[in-house]
Amino acid sequence: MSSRAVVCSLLGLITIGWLAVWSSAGWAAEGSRQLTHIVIGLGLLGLCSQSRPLAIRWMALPYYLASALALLLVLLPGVGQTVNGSQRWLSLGPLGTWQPSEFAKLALILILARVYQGRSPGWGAFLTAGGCTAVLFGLIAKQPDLGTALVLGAIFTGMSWVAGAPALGLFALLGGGAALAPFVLHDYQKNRLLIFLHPETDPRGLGYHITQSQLAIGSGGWVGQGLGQGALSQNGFVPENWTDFVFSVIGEELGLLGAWGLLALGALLAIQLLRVSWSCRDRYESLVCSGVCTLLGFQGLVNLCMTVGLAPVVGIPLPFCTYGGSAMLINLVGVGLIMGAAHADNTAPKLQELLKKTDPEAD
Amino acid sequence: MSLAGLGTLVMGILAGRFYQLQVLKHHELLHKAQSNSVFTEYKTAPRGRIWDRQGKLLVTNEPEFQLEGIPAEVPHDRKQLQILAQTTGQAPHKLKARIDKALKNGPLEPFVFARALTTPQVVATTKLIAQTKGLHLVIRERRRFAGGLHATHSLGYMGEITAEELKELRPLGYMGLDRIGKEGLERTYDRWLRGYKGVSRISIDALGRTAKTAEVRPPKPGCDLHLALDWELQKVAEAALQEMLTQLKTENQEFSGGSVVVMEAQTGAVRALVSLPQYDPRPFARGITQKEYTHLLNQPGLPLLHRAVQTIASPGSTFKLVTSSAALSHGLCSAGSVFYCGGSYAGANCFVTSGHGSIGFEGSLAHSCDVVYYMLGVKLGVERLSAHSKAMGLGHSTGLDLPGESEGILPTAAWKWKNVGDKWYEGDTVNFSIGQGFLLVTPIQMAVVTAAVANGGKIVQPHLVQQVVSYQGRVMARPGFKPLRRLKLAGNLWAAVRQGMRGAVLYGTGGAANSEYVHVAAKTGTVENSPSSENTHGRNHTWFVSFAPYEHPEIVVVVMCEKSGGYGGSRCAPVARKIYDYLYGPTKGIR
Repeated sequence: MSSRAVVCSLLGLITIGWLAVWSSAGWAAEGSRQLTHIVIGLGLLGLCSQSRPLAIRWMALPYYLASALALLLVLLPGVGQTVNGSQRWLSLGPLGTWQPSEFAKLALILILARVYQGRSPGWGAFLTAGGCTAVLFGLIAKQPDLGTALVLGAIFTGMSWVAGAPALGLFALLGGGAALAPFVLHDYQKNRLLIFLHPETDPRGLGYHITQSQLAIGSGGWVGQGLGQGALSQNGFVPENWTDFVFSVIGEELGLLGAWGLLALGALLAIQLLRVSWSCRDRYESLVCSGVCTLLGFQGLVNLCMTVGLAPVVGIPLPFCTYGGSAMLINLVGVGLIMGAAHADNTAPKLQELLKKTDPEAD
Repeated sequence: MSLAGLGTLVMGILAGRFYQLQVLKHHELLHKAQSNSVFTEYKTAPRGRIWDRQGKLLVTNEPEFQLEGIPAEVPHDRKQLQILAQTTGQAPHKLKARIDKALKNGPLEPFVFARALTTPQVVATTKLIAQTKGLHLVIRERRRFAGGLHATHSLGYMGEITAEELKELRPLGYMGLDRIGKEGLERTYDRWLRGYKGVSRISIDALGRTAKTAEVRPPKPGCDLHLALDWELQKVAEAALQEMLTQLKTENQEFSGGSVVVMEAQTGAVRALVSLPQYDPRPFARGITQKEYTHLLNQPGLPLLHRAVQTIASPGSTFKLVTSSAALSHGLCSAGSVFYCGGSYAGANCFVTSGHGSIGFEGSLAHSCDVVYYMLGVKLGVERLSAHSKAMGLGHSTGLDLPGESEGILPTAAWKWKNVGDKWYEGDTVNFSIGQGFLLVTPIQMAVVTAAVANGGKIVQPHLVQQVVSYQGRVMARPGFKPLRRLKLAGNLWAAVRQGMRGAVLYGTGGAANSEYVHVAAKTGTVENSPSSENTHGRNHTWFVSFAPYEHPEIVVVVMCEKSGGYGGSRCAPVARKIYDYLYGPTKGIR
């Protein structure tokens, strides 16, 4: 991994994302605050990249428990803040409001890496991991926050797959989940999930976001309307387009070149991060890396699919772009962890050198 | 790694999807995006004004204030409603009922809370708007009758376009909710008067707020109409006829209507066009209610009828102008012919039952001897008489620039066979030749006939509008500027008829019109009616057609009174005389 490539692609993504937020929401509130999040996040990234994940492995369990507690607190009436019918936010007075579900994503990655760190995880590890996921999943689904719950599911699936958990169990779980979904979900949730197939049937209601987002992206053309010039982005046709639908701003104002550029930067970052996860010699660190990769990759791809009408609309943010402090911090910390792992890996004596040292005949 | 492969695949799909949306479907989506954020607003152009021949302003525009709003946005608790009703001068319960209905039908559709607000109401409403959400004042233009309420039938009124009219007129740029001319000149010249709508493109945001307005084309004001109508003369004619009708009402205890046409003999320019009783067009300007309209319809005397162009009646003896000129043109008599009237012919009596004795051609017109015309009519035969009548302008519309003109009925043998189902008898010809029986004409048609006699066979096209002038001062149209046709008839024959008409004023039936200021030539007409459901006493319709000056005809005056009783010489002639006195007397009304 080259840290320069990671930093460059990361800064590129963050810049595009921030420009979109600034263009659609303005400087006064969201723009400046997002800048603060970015600065704090980059600081945390720097910190994390200085120590290897193995060094803070002991924090996994306390962090996990704290996350679960925070999620529980959010659900308590009077403590959690309700926005748009979902109880997601926890107010910390002068420190602002935070979204514990975002922190839970990292907590899950760390705890799963801990559970799967054994050489060949058997059914026991798989069930333990499933239990750990289920607790957070349940608490988040209760808010309700379908998108984040799905992200947790994806992390669990991805990490179990990478760790080599029993494939039978994994498939059974996925199949069971898919089969149960129609019975568990509320009707309005089902409608919301399926409307992306026919957004034109309800252009003023559920299909509104999808239709408007596609119109905005489509009217971008090759080079876009220019920053701050998007007719739909600027006039509120895509409601709250600095959050999950931030890509519609990028698509309309920066055009196809901007969109492809975003994809390219994402791909560059993904390759760099995946290479770390593949090359890590410590199994715990490798798992943390693949967990973070799953987190960023899944969120990024599903969010983009959702804004262009290829996936159902669920509340999944675009990493490094969508406005939001908690997500920005967690994503940057995740990348920081991977950079730490890579750093440790790079500075550790290479195998050849070790062999050389241990082999007296080498000289 | 299979997961990375999956990620790469999804990324590839996304890249393709971006290309599809942003390049392949770019134009379609951009168009949709723009149409959902930009809409076109049409602004009605100021309507053209109407002036009389002396440049007096007759009809212009004035602003009208209307309180509109979205019913769902306006707070509708009791107290608010009370205030709203009070400021707009409505009964609270009625307003509440209307709002409730609107809330049920379309709570988000614009709703008219009050229309035609008076100035104090507008002031009060502006205060209310500042305090209440969702209300706004809409300013529209409505017609103002600047010259007073005269000639209202001819000027006409406006109303909202109906669905049928819209279907027909949409290609010409008319739109729903447009106000268009419904009657009179407003209707005939609507396409000139309305001008062209202004077009603006308005960009709105998702909440419906106006973000940007760009004017594509400013509204182009409509053309002005410069009428041949003489407003002072119109008032004089209306007063003269009204005086006669009032007198008739006291005498007959029956409501009657009448009409006057004052027309230039040489050009057909209509200087005054009176139809009484009149109606008040102002309720139409602000939007008439059903109740008011029913009331108007049920009033005695049918005020909505434009009698000068829509009433059809037998012309009576005034038709002798046609019969005599037909006989002259076919050489059946000459200006020097002498006839004998024995009081009756072919079973029909002269109105002077003792008979006129020996009577010359001039005398037959002056004394209106029926027997002479019975004879001439029978000699002519129905077909020749009918053809000549048609050539003189009867039986078809005159081309006057007013809507709803009646064509009248010009009978022939074929017409009778088709419509009555009987063959044509000589008795029918006898009746026809003195303007009774099947023949029905409008006063404006008689004006054209009289003008033809006066000007020597020129069939003029009567017209109220002399010039249509664009807002930039260009003359766009001159309706009726040229006469329709000229009858091939020797000038001295017309002079013989004119002579007879002059005789009628000097020593015959039309003496009451003998103005001291000008030499009037005239023909009276009295139509005998049998009692009917409309005309229960069977009172006569009376006619008076005339021109002046006798030596060089300028003006044609036709007066007609319905169900007046009496004779044309006693009922209508005095009205005509007042008009001539005004025109040629010390007032020098003629200009």
